[in-house]
Amino acid sequence: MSVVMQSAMNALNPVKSIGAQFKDALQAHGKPSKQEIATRSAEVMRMVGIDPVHLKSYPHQLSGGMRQRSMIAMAMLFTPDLVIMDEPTSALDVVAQRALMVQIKELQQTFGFAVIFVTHDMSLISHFSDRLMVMYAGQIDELGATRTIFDRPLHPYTQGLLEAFPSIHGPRVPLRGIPGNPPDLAMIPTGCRFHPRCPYAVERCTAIAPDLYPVDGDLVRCLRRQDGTLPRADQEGSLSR
Amino acid sequence: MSELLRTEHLTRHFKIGGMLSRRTLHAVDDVSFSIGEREIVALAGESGSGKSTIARVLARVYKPTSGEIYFEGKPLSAIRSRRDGLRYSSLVPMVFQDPFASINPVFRVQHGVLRILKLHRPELPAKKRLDEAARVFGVVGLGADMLQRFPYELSGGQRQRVGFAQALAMRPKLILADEPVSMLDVSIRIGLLNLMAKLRDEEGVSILYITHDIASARYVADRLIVMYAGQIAESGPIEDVLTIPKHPYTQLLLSAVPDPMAPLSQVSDQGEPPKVVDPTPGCRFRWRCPLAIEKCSAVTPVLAELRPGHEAACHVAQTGAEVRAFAS
Repeated sequence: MSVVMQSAMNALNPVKSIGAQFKDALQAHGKPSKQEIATRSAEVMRMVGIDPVHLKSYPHQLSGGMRQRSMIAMAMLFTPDLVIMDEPTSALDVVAQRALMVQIKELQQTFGFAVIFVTHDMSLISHFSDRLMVMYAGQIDELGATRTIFDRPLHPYTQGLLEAFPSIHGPRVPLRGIPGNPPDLAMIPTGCRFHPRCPYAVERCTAIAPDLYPVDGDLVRCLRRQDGTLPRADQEGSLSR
Repeated sequence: MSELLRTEHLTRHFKIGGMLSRRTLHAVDDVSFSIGEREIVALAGESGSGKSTIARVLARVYKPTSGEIYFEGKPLSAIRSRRDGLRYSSLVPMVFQDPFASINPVFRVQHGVLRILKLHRPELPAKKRLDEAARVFGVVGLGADMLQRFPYELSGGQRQRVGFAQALAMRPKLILADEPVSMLDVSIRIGLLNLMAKLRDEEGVSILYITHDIASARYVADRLIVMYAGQIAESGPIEDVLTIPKHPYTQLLLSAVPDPMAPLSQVSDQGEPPKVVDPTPGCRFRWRCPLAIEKCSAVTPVLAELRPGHEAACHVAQTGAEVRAFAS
């Protein structure tokens, strides 16, 4: 298991070359020979599409995209089964972001590891993830296959989140976003944690804390969705884009 | 629409390296554009393309290396006295990217607004200042009780609204908003974008909206300027630029924007933005451009109007050929 951090600027040691940092990681997990270190480091760099000469480079000599890719290379050193990626693309511009996502997907399919991809950019993961877990105030709100959630979000928060993104295609429509502010986790609302911002909240939402209920093959934390009193997004024209 | 601000061949270079180094970084090179009254102009481009440098030059934080800025027809280089400088700063305030770092945490929120009123609108008697502060807070959607809060009591979205309220207190003509929503939670970004549209429609303020998020630019802006490596690649009415992009870089940018409702587009580009240190003549996009011709490595392209109000700096597009470098 390995982790790829959000900001490649701060996650790499600025005073050591990339190769030296790979060596540190390899030596912390065993006693490889110099030869083994060199071959493995060059291998993983090639995997992510960086010329192995950059093993001698220092982080400041690389661009943001290359730094992020060398972080991924470092995560690949021990052929992990699970890679946790915490917003690996948020510091990159859209073009580099797209290139990196394609790369991650290719590596994932070649080596068969699982990825937990932590992000706030819903549109980014729509094409790259299999399953989607939406969190709100420390709890899972909705869990299901990515495409199904995008096609018919069940939880009001997921609906709001999908509506909060303007699109570059189609008509220019005014968007509402989600009213209110993210909750203060020191003072969590009673009942459903989303009820102060939820347009569909009814009285019992303020009192009863909902569980994750199975609805349509997905799991969703919403009282009104569970008993079917909430209008379906795909049947309500204003909500589906 | 009458013109509010215009730049002519605006250029800003930075010396880099040690004392003896002669290398210069061309952050902004020969940029000419204008902003009209009641207009939101989006300035888009990747990191390092010179967007923020333009904002800082317009805010008079940096002096331009060459070129000139005209505000309401008068050149900025003619500003000599402190009074004229203050007047310009109050007409063209800036809203910063990070709402957590741009408000003084040890004072109540009203402190910043009241100081602005005292400095920039001295004609306002002390008693009236609090009323005026409450008024601008109302415009940005904050209650008057917020004035007494400390910044730590406010959420990111509320703080950014304070940033706009502070700008608004100066009765500005043009607000320079440098990535005002990129640090905010996605669920409240739309609220801020709607606020920007409201300021334009109801308060008659123009906004230079600096962003790398094309979709949000499309949501609020009237015109789009796409920057690449310190130069303007393309500019024009936003719908026109997005539907008929003329510059290959704009096409690349649009093809990379993720859209959950569209099928995944194939982008082959892995290229990196160039570092603009001591550039030679020629188009700065030519290394990544699949359409580059010989002329591109010899002559720097300049903006030329290809459609009404829609300009692009591309030799291929200017020959009249159809440019389809990257499908979106």
